[in-house]
Amino acid sequence: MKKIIMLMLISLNLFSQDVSWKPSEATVARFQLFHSTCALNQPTAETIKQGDLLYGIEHRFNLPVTSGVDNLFGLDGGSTIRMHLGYAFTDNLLVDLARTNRMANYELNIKQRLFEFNDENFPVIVAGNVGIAYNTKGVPEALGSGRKVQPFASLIVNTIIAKKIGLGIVPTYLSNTNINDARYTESKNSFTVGLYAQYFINDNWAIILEGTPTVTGWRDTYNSYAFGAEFETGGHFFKFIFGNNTAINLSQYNLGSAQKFGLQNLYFGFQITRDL
Amino acid sequence: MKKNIIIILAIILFSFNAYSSEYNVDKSKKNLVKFTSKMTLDDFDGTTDKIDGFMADSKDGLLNSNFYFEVDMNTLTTNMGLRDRHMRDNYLHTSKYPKSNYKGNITSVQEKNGKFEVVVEGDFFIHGVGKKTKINASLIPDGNNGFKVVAKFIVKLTDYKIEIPQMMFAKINENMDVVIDFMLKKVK
Repeated sequence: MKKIIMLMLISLNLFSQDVSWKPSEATVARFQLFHSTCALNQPTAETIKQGDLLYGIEHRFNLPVTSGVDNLFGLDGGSTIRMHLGYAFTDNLLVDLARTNRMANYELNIKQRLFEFNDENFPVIVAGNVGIAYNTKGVPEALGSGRKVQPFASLIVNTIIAKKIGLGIVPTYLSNTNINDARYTESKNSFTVGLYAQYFINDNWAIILEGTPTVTGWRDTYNSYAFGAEFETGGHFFKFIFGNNTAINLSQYNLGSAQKFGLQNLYFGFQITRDL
Repeated sequence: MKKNIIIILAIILFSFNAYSSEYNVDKSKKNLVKFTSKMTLDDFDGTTDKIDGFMADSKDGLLNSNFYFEVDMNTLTTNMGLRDRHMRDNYLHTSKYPKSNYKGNITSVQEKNGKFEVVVEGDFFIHGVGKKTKINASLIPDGNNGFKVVAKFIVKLTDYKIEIPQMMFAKINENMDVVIDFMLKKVK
């Protein structure tokens, strides 16, 4: 009798586990290294979710921070303003249209994520960005209307160290870069290498260093350098930027600055982006 | 010999009584799990259709049936990629806790207008933390030997050691309204 009861209990236990349902594998979240689609001025390899819109507005004030309290540390001096709107056709393809007031510039950027290597020690994401800028004002008539157009292309390579320090290298080829240099009538090109490091302090705050030396080709007097902080919350990024260049978009910013990077030539700027 | 036959019969009868039928979540149907966050100025929803699980009913019919479902938390979306990532990485920590699940038994059944109002008592695991939870659910026969399951309940984030998310500069309500709505199909 004891045997029967034991067997009944065992069989109950066996059958209570005997459901045909099997759990499925959990979905793996999208692989990301940086949080935002750009560092300060240079693009990261990140895109946004398919179907999302990305709206951004940014300013670079034209007076340096050292202009003092009378000019509210540069904020009274007018600014370069850029607005842009992006749309993700896929998780890996972001198309962005921008307007900057400097030279009444329209700019189209197409960023495509190309490759990812999800390794614990050395994760890498590579993206390509091609774009075209069209300056509707400020290009000397003598140069011809064709010189209003500035195509450019970048390769973006990102990695992260210890999940805390994001690094990026952005070699960029820019065409027709000398439209404001009266010394030349023929078109010049430039090759620049954007470099940035972003330290993620916590889930919301990060600090960023960025340099954009021109390797070869036309450049203004000095290379562009910047540093700043990033705050992200609730679908927004807020960036606070200090640098020696008051240009914003790639086709203008990468060409260098007339001001040497240093305390006397620090210009404040900010950027707000919103994922919609 | 007679004794052996009795043993075998006892096992068969008793085991048949253990589960008379099993229902699995029908993933081909339009299922829904929805978390609603209430804020002072705005509400937003996190939704997914990636719910899976089963109901195995006992010799008592629905009463005492085992009820298990799990939600793939990496698929939860608020229709904003950045907010989704914040939710996954900063609050739900889905790389460590990719699934939430509920395991319980139906402790009460009332038939009303052709549907069954049931009470399920069990444990809800979210963010790696388990909590005893009682869920009132409706089981509506779908006319094809299956059920549509609908339940609404509240999840208090702090019960599961989830930090209260801050959207811009306002914190959301720590009580989230949860709606589950999915189809069960009979598999045996």
